[in-house]
Formats: sequence, structure tokens, C-alpha cells
Amino acid sequence: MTILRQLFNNIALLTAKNKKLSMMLGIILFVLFPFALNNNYILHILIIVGIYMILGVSLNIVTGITGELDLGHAAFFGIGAYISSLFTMKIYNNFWLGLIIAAIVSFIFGIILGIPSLRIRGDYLAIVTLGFSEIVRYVLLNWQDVTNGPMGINRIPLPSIMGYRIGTKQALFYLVYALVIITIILVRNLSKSRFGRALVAIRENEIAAAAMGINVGYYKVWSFAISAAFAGVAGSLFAHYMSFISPMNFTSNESILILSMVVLGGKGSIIGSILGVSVLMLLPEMLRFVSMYRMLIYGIALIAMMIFKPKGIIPENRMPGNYKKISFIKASKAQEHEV
Amino acid sequence: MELLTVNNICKYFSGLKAVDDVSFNVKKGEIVSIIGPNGAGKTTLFNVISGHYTATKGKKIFDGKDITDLPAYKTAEVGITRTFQNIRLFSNLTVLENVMIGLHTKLKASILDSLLNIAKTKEEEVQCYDNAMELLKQVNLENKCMEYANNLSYGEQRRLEIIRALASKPKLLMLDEPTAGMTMQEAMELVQFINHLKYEEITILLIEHNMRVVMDISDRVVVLDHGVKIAEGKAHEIQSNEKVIEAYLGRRKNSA
Repeated sequence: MTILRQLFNNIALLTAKNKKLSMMLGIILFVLFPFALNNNYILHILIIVGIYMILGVSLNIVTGITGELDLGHAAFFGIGAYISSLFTMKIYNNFWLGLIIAAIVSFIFGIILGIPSLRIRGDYLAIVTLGFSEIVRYVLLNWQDVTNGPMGINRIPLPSIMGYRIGTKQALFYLVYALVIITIILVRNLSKSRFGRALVAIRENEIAAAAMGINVGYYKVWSFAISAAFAGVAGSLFAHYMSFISPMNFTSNESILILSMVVLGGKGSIIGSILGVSVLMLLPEMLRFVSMYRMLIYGIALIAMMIFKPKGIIPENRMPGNYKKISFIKASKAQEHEV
Repeated sequence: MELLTVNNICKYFSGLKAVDDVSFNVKKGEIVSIIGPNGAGKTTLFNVISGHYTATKGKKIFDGKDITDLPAYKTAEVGITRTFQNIRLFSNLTVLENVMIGLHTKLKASILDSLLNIAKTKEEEVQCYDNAMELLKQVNLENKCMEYANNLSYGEQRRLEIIRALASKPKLLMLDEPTAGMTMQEAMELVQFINHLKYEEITILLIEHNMRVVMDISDRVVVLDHGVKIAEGKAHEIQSNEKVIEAYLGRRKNSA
């Protein structure tokens, strides 16, 4: 693992030094990849993995950075999916508008779920989030006039950009991963900023955080809301990609799956969440050759990971060594040049 | 010129009178110590002043403003910061980040700025970093800036907690037993540091058990016992006050 970390650090340093070159390389690889791999089955899996990456990284804001156990993430995923598909099918057929409205509505529900966190913590809050997720599922199941109940919503339009339908798997792959990258950049900015520091301070010690002038309740609600908004985006992508959704897609099991991805990857670590999602999504697929024992191996792998690496695949590393050193040294050098 | 005035503060925990009708004031630039036997209500009084507890009765006035109903984070914003008796650092974060969190109220980046990491925010972050390093130099912790806070020695943790509280340039610094668990030499170094703060026009209110420290640095001493203020005055006056001796040592038998 230390070798791996050194490798990461070296890559980070190299990319920081040759920013333009590495960006170009990254873009070229990214563009060529789906064509080189002209396999619809693998592309489908990778698209779903991408959607779950958005979910994992966004849940990491609440569970990893703010340190609150959240078992209701699938509810926001579902809200985003239903709002976006209902909007595009019944009101105005524009995918991007649907996506934004899904994010906004999820954001508002995030605030609503964030409010109990002002009074309750830990296990008790986990139960509240679980309850919230069940309420959302039951509303989706029983409000038949709007949600079509357990039959789900069918024929959700595919995404489109400026009138062009994004129909091929390749194009959908680009769309999903573009949003994954935006999510990662935004959440990374957040975690290294004044806002992110306030959130980790709350996680580490609420009383001391308040003594530093941090409005604990305000920041907690914001962290829930932002996390929910990203989940809403993921939901919208999922709905328009799959073109069929039903309440079965958004059960508490999903929430628990996303949570285990974040915990397995490493709470608070964004790269960790991405790896956690990849491992937990790809492992069952890769294990198909042992068909009968697939889930058994999957379970054992999960338990073994938690015993031998309880802090996750890549533990949170807020050491300035990684990110801050590079950016700060660069920034201060730039300042010197100006002077 | 009074910086902090505490009027008839009471804090009851359903029948237990932890702090009962305590009044005193702290003038600008003063160092005031609160002493008293264990369980006298010193830390409760601190928690009430810093806004971590709301007072049952009474009033707090700080810098001409009524701060009685302000929660802890707002009390910090108006310029009262504190340390804790049982050190409360952000232990899984680096020393540097601890101080950067202490600078929270001095930074302006909104949540949207933070998300988008605009140029102004980047600049502010660099300044925050420089600022934090500058502060760490004052307590000789600049070489440990990348260490996790819980890997520091006890004395270093105390120093870090103090500099974290000082980061936002408070008008009033409240120290809850800053020398607890320190060797005499460490304690005296801390006394020097606290004395030096006086020149930076920071007013200090502290709880302290180490009498040598109290006698060395306090301009005035407030003595609590069973939640009630029993004496107030200059350090040497307190030393010979009968009520204080009684609180600490017990009553002398009325023998002939």
C-alpha cells in the first residue's frame, strides 16, 4: 500500500509539473476508450459504475467528511430519478432542465432531512435517515396517479444535447463520466476549503468546532443538502439512461450498498469512494465465472477488507503533502514572481 | 474600561446550583484568574460565558453588547475564544489544519465560493496557510505542522490549543487550566507566553490550579466555592483572605 501511495504521489507531482501535457493525455485516453472498447455489455456496466460514483462521492460528503451516518441516500437518488423523468415526460421535454430541477428538488429534500441532524446524532440519526428513505419509497409505491406505483415509469426519453439525442452507449458513457468528473472536482474543492474544514471540524469535535465560530447546525444541513443534490443528478442520469424506473430501484438496500462502498473505499477519501464503488460494482461481474459461489466470495472479500483495512482501501489523507503542498508551493511561487 | 461584565449569572442543573449569582468584570488588557476547589463551578461558569451553556439567570455584556443569548459560535464571532480543560483538538487532523480551522471566522469564502474554488478563494487559502504557519511559529510548532494533532506531546497539545484559540485574534481569551499536567518549566514558559500576549492587547480570563502561576500573572483573582463567589481582589490580598483559606483548607477548630 505504501508503494501504491508513493506511486500516487509521484503521479500527482508529475501531473502538477506537466499540467497541460497530462490533461491532454487524459482527454485523449478518455475519448478513445469507449471506441477501443466497442462492447455494449462492458460499456453498460461502466455507465452504471459512473452513476454510482456520483452517488458514492456525494454520500462521502455526509458520511465521510461531516461524519454523520446516512442510510437514506437512495431516497435522493429516487427523488432525482422520478422528478426528472416526470418533468421531461409531462411538463417539458428537456433533459438538462430535468436534471437541474431534479438536483434542486433533491437539494430541498436534503435540507428537510438535514434539519433533524441539528438535534440528533449518530445511531439515532441513522434511524431517521432510514425512515426517511422508507417514506420516500412508500410514497413512490402508493401515489399511483403520479408515480404509476409499483409498475414504475416506462419510456423515459434519452438525454439530448441541443436537440441531438444521446442514443449510443459511447455517447452516454461520455455524458455520465463528464458529470462524474464535475462531481469529483466540486467535492474535492469543497473538502479542501473553508467549508470542508468546518465539516471535518464538526466530525472531529462539535464542541470545539462551535468554539471556533463554526455554526454547527448550519453546516450540517448544508452538507446534507449538497450531498442530496448530487444524488439527484445521479438519479436523473439513471432514469434517462435506463428509460425505466420503479420503486424497486431505490430501496434501503441501495442506501446500504452505497454506504458500504464509501466505507470500504475509505471514509472522507474521494479516490477511496471511487475505488470502493468500482470494486463493489465490478467484483460481482468479474466473479460471474464462479456463478454459484459469486455472492459468497463477494461477502468474504467484504469482511476480509474490513478486518485487514478498517480505514478503507485508501484512507482519508488530509495531509497537505498531497494536495496542499503542491498547490500552495505553486501559488506562493507565483506570488513571488509577481512581487 | 470593562471588556466583559458578568451580572448575577446563575446556572442550575435541575436543582443543583452549579453557578449561583456570580458577578464580576474583566477590564481591557487585564489577566483575571478564577480559582476555587474542585467542583466549585469554575468550568461551568466558563461554559456559560463562552455560550456552550445558556445561563439560567443573569446577563453577560461584552464590549458594550449584550451577549447573554448568543450561542457558542456567535460568541466566538464577537471575539471570545477559549481552550478546554480536557484538551479538545481536532485530533485526526494535522496541526496546520487545526490552526486553519481556528481562522474560520477570519475567512470570507462562502459555500458556493468553496465549491467552485474561484481565484479569490484560492488567494484567501494561501493567505490562511501563511497566517497559520506564522501563528505556529509563535509557539514553536512550525516544524510539527504536518503531524496529526493526537501525535503531539501533552504540552504541545496545550500550546496548539491555545494558538488555535488565538488564531482569530480574539479580544478575550479564556484558558481553562492551561498548565494542567505540565512540568514546572513548561508551565513557566507558558506564563511567559501569556505575559507576552498582554502586549498584543489581548485580555485573558483563566482558570488555574497552579498557585505559582496564578500569583505570577494575575492582575486580579476571583474565588469561587460551591458555585458562589466568595472573594475577589489582587493576588496577594486573596492569599490572606480568611474565606479563601477556609474554602481550601477547612475551618480552624474554635479551640481555646
